[in-house]
Amino acid sequence: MGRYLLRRLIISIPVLFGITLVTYVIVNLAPGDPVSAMIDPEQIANLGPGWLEQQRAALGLDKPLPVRYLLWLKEAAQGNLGFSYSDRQPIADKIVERIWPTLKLMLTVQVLALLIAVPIGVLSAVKQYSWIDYLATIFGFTTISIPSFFLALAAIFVFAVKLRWLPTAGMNTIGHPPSIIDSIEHLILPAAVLGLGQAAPLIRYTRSSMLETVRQDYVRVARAKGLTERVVVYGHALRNALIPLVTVIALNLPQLLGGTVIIEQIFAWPGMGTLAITAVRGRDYPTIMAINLIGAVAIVISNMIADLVYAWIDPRIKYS
Amino acid sequence: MAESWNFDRIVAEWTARGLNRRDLMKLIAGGSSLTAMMTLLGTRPEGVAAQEESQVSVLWSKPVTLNPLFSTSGSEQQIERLMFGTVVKMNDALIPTPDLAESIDVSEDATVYTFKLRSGMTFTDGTPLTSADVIFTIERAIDPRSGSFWRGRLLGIVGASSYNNQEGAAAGTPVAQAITGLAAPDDLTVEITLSSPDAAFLPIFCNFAGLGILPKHILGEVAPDQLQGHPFSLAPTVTGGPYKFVRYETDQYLEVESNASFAGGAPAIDRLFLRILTPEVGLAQLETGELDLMSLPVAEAERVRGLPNVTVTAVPSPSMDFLALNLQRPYLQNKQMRQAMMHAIDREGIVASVLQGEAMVVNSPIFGPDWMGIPEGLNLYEYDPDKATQLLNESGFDKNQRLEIMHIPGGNPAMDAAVVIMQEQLRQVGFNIDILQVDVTELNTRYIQEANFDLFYNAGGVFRADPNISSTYFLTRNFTPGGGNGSHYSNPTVDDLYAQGQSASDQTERKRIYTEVAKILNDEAPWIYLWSPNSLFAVSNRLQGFAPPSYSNNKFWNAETWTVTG
Amino acid sequence: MAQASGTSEGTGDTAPLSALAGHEKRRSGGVWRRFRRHRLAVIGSTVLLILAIGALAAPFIASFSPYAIDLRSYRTGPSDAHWLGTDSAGRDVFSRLLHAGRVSLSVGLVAVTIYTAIGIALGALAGYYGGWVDSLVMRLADVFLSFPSLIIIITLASVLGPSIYNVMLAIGLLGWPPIARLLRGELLSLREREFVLGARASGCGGARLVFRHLLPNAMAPVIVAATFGIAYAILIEAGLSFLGLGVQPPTPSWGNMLTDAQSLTVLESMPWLWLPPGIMIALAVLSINFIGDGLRDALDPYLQHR
Repeated sequence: MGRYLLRRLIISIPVLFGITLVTYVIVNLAPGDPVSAMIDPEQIANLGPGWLEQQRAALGLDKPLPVRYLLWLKEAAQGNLGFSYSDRQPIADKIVERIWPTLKLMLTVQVLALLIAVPIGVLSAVKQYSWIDYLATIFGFTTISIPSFFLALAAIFVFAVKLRWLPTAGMNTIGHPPSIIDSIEHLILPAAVLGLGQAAPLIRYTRSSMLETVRQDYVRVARAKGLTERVVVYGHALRNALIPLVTVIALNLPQLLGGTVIIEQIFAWPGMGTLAITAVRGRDYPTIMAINLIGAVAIVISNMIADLVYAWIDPRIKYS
Repeated sequence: MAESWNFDRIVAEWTARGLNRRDLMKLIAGGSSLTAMMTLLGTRPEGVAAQEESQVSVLWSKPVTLNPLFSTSGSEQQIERLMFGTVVKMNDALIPTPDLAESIDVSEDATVYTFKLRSGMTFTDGTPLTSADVIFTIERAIDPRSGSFWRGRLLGIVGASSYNNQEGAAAGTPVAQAITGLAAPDDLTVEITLSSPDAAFLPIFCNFAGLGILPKHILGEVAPDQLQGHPFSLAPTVTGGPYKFVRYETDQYLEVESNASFAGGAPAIDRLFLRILTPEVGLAQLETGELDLMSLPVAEAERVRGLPNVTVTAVPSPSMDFLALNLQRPYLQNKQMRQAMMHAIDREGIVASVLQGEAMVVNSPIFGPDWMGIPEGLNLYEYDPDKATQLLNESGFDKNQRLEIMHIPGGNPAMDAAVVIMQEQLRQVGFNIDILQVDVTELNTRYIQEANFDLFYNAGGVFRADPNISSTYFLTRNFTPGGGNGSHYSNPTVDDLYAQGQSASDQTERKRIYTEVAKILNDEAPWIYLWSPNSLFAVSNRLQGFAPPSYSNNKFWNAETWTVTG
Repeated sequence: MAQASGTSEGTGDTAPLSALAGHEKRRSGGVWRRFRRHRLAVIGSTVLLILAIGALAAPFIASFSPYAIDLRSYRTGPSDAHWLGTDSAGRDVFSRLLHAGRVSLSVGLVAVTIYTAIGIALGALAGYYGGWVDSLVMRLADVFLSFPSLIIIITLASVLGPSIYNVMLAIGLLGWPPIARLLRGELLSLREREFVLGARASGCGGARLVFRHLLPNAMAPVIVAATFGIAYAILIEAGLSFLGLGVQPPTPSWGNMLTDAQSLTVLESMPWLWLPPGIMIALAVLSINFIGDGLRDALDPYLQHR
């Protein structure tokens, strides 16, 4: 297994290289460039002669694509992510600025989803085809059947505008000194909207995992030994049933870092998703590459974890 | 299978599973206490809590930079004026008025402009604001190494084009280390000399919101090419205007506070929050009282009028909605076809329905200001699909030719609805026409650099401010990418008339000349003229002093005079 | 959203060789029966059938063209002439709803078909051959999975033009890794099972082994995942419409009809603009998800009620 891990890690490097190369090419194919993104069509008459070319040269856009990519690669390999084309700020700073709101939101979402999903999923499995199961199924599926942007706006409308229970948007109340309660209140709506969506598949996973575990031989043995149903189910089976969930959570890791564009836009949450879409729309190549690289690293790691857990669960799977 | 809804049955089953009644009770108790906590946490303050400090929140758009030398968007420039102060600014009638200056003096031949600054002005860190700072700002604006677009506007100053111009040196022009046309006879006087008379210099100098004055003692040592990326550009901590920068939370809001030491008198409102939100959330915050001012999309007007704490004001805007045609494409060079388009679109109908009457149909790009009025004798192009079909058939235009209306979606729901209606109405008449949705970057590339488009649905401009504004878009020498004439319309008669109009001084004469221009542009229809929409603003009742801009789009043109009640 | 582990068969109760043929027959007969017992799945199938018929018959049922504009009926509520009222361009909502069904349902179907086909092909290769083939395919999957899908889709939309076909293509090209991983995982664990060893012992090898014995038993989670994928694709289209990248106007899709209604005024006072597309999306997605759930329970006999 150790050799396998090592080999995976080594292979990851060309994978990352491939990802960055392909992304760079695709992104440069999009019409326009960072300079066109900066122009306000209203003001074009005022820009003066030669300004466009000068800006392009300043950003190094007059060099051919392969040269630009290699320059970027050289810097990135040394850990230097460069400067954003749109506002000339260091990209590393921008990312660090955004990653905390994203983590805050996505971790809450994940925890919320688990808190909802595991109890309901377990109950659903234990009482399969009962009314609890039906209700859980319907609830689970309904929440993922509604597009998130709509759910978000409806939630704001009901809870923030009409009922005034919760704030409309943002991470804290503007103009007031920061407080933990304030932050939590602002976290509730976006986390709930996202969390419900995450919970539904987790309910199904927990349910089917639980169902399978309960059929296993060792569970039969435990029952035969005379242990109460409660100890059997919650003491033995549950623990083993939850292990595959780790796979799922590991696979969710990239999203933890990537955020969600739509929810961030609606709730004015300054996270990685907004950074990404602004960069794409502004053809801010270095920022796009940096975000991409981070996402890629996260995915490679999470896939490895998921594969390892997979193999651990089912010893019949052999990795050569 | 258990299907009973009877509580005891449920409990019995749970018990059989190993859970007992106590657990069930615990679950229920937990759930209800959670709900109770929620309700307690619950009651949100009605809008902003009343404090000794007065706060106002306005809806804003995400800025790219806060440095006046590099801002290309109006929303940034409006706030920069409040923070930095400008020498002259435009008031609402588009007349240059002194801002940081006390007086403006223009020489007889309109080549020498003398600005007397107010005395006793300081930056927020106490350093005096003098003519040296003004000179410094203009030098950096003109310096090719900083990359500011202001350079293009200020090249008329003597010595500007050779200042630090290394490229010019290669062509033989000597590189100048100073701009001879800029002089500061004393700490409070700035003298600008132009190389040739230009009556339009002042309007250009205070274009939109004017040029914010940078602090020389902070930025003087920064190399010009490092200015744009300097932290100061996103956190201008030392400024000289009525409002002082406090913080910019990326993508969330900008906070500025009243500058107590401002020589012109500190603004009454202590704190301004410029919030970055989507319009829907902006409206929600308007209702809860968290937001005090925003531009209102027409479709929401009725609902917002019904809110007790908000007032809706509407003024005619200076802008216009139009379809710009790419006249470089041979199949669009057909005048009768363009006139068919004008007849095919039910402009009155769209104004009545989508715009709820808050607009005025226009038939040329000249429709104001008041002394100009709407030119007489124009073809009104009534909505007449039959006539349109007939004209189209007569024109010889190949109906199989596929056309695309280029459009940026999502910015304005009224425009999104209108473009769909127009496309369908044009289809009805026989055009094979589709909608092409693009983002800003692609739009700029296609419209400005490549001329790769058929029609472009656009809205904006300040046409109503002065009839000469339209020349930006129709003069032969203004072809994109150098200027604003994206259609590449060229008519020597029109060029002549615009030149006459600019040099004429008598208003009656100007009116006559521009009526001529309007007639030609109306007949040739290089653009499909649509309507001039009203600007709607939603203002909370506690904000006093807000005056909707009628000849520009600058909401903040008098922001330092606003007050709040209650 | 498929099963988490590879243990889908029971322990080795079946007698090795002779049980092979009978094993398969018993399974196919049981699938349909078990599916029918899953009530929600049956309801889901019925609902989906109705939606599909409505979509297919749209041109015949709808009284107006989905593009016809009547500016005098701008945003009016339901009436005799317009059963579900009119929208922001004076078009009949009911007709647009039906036509939108065609678009939204087909986006889901086409996109999923593309990526399932790719996923099965690559996953089968990886799972059967193992070794370096497996490594290569999985690394390729990693690469595709690592592309931040939204960035790629937005960029592809700019490069190719934001048409619905490009949306389907983008979802299709990016969505295959989970299917491939699923299939490969199943195959990896099935390879070592008794019945496979038995088949090998009786001389079955190579492609025959894959197609006759391995794939049918491994397909269960793939089918389930693909079914859920259709629902997911419908939701993605809605999300893309929100960003301006989904189905382009004036073509109606449930996603862009819902986006048009993104305003507090509409939310509060014009429910006919958002309820119909919202309900349609929810119904379609719900039904498809129930069907997927039912399929999962039906295809895996050991999960049934004891």
